[in-house]
Amino acid sequence: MKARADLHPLLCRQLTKASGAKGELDTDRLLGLVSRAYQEKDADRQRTDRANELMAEELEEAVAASALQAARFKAALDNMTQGLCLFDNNGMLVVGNRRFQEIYGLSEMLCASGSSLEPLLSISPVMRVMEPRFRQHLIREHVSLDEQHSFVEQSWPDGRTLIVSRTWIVGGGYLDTIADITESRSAAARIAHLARHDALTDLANRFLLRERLQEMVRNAARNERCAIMCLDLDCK
Amino acid sequence: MWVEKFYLCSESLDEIAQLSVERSPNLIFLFGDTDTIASGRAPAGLFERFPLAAHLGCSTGTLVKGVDLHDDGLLIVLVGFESTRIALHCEPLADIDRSFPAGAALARKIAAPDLAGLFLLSSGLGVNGSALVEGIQSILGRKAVISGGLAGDGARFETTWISINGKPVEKAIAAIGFYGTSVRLAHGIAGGWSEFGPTRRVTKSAGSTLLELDHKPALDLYKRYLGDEATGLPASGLLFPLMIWDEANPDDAVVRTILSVDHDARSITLAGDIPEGWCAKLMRGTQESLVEGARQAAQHARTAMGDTKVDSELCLFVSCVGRRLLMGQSTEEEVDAVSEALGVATKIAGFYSYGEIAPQNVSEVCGLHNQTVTLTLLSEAA
Repeated sequence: MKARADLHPLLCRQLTKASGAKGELDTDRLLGLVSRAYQEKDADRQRTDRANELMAEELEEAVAASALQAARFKAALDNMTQGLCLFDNNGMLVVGNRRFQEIYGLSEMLCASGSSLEPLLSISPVMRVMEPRFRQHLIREHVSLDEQHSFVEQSWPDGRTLIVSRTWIVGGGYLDTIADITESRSAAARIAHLARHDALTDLANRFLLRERLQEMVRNAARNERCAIMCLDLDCK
Repeated sequence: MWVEKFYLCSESLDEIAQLSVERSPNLIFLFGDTDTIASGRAPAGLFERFPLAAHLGCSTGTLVKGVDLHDDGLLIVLVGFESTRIALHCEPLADIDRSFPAGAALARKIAAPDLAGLFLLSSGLGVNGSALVEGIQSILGRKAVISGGLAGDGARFETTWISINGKPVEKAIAAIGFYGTSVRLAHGIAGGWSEFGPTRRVTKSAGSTLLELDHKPALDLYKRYLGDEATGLPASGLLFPLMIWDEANPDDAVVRTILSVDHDARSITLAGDIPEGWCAKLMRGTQESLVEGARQAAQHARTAMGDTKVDSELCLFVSCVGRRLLMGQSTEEEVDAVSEALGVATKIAGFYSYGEIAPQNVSEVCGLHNQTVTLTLLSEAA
């Protein structure tokens, strides 16, 4: 049988295959070929539907896993004792943990806005109550950290002592950590005082006397004069 | 150069003796269904008829003659060269781990200063195709012009055969080397598959065996996507090829196809290496996208051949069995597309394979490909 030009190319091929050498049409063979073509199309459609469905499921699982991972990461950041803020290669804030927000009195919303460091510190309610020159000095110290000066210790007017450290990130951006060392500095001072004073009377002890005498000896070596006054507190 | 093609269906293989050929060919390609090649009777008869020619062929589930496809029988392509020297060499391939050294040994036999390129056929199972090509390149250099493919067995994946001078060999590689300055070779390759779904990580593999993706058995993923069609594994696995790439070189992604599955180990063995740590994504295709891919391969080959004046041109068409499985009765459309793009004067002959070998369109470095159409245009300057 001769294939017609207006027929689908697949049907033309099926007609050719179902035709004998003399052009006679084998109807059973033609029906078999047509039926198989329908089956192939059905299988292809079902395969595509199934793949789409599974792909959607997998992507949903991936999104859920990603959200869970992000929540865990945030929880870990928020439970750090140090403040942490990460800035991208354009100097914009990518993430700031809860401690960072607490130290500077910044709201979560402000930290999520993608600001750069200097404006963030400038609007910090904690810093705004400082004397302007002192505030500018602290902000400048922090903002200007670089590879040569990658950390700074700051004493704030409210009595806090902070260490701000900067780490540069490969590919751009930097990570600042802010540690409140007020307590450790205070404890160190307290330990130093205890070491040099009597626990009962809180008067200077021999250790402090020896330190002062050694200091006087050093001064005497530079021809500095000194005097010693001995006062006996024993009232017997 | 001249080319003549003959197709004999399974019932008429005895007609080899009566083939009407007036000229004496230098080279004969033969592609046939697995039983025909494995029995060796028809290829031996052909060798007896043309004993001076080099005979190279392989088994396949579908052979390509012009724009027609046949699932059985024998396709015979006779080629006569005017001034091009050719040589046929072969090498045993005992097991998959010998792929690289077998390739290197074959290349040593075929190497010569005036080697222009080679057409390689390999067993389709028990071979690491990428290691095989790398073995050849280790001797002939990275820019060696290599094309060809891995023998096929349709959707059965049971046995594949190479036919060398009339004899069937189950585990072997063989190649025709083309020598001299007259021979013209050009290639085109394209897939037409699209990636889909999440990016996965190859977390456990060994050579060409993929054990785990994202710490889960690789075979489980395929079974999940195939549903009822999983009973047709490994063949049905070809409906979802795997694109893999090294994260450090995302532009050099390659497509891998399944050769076998191990239900106990829940692993799949692919036609080439699948390194641990690489990324992977499933792929799928539509009839339209695969046909368009074939057209692009032909257009690239035509452009690569340039406007060299030739008397006759043969297109060796090697396409993946996965495309045949997906397109079913519409598979001929991809051959039609190739024929349209090449022009009716080009004689097309080839087979559906378990892996294709050809130079990349851009880098021109040869490699193993899967799920592609690869075309080798062969001619001789007039």
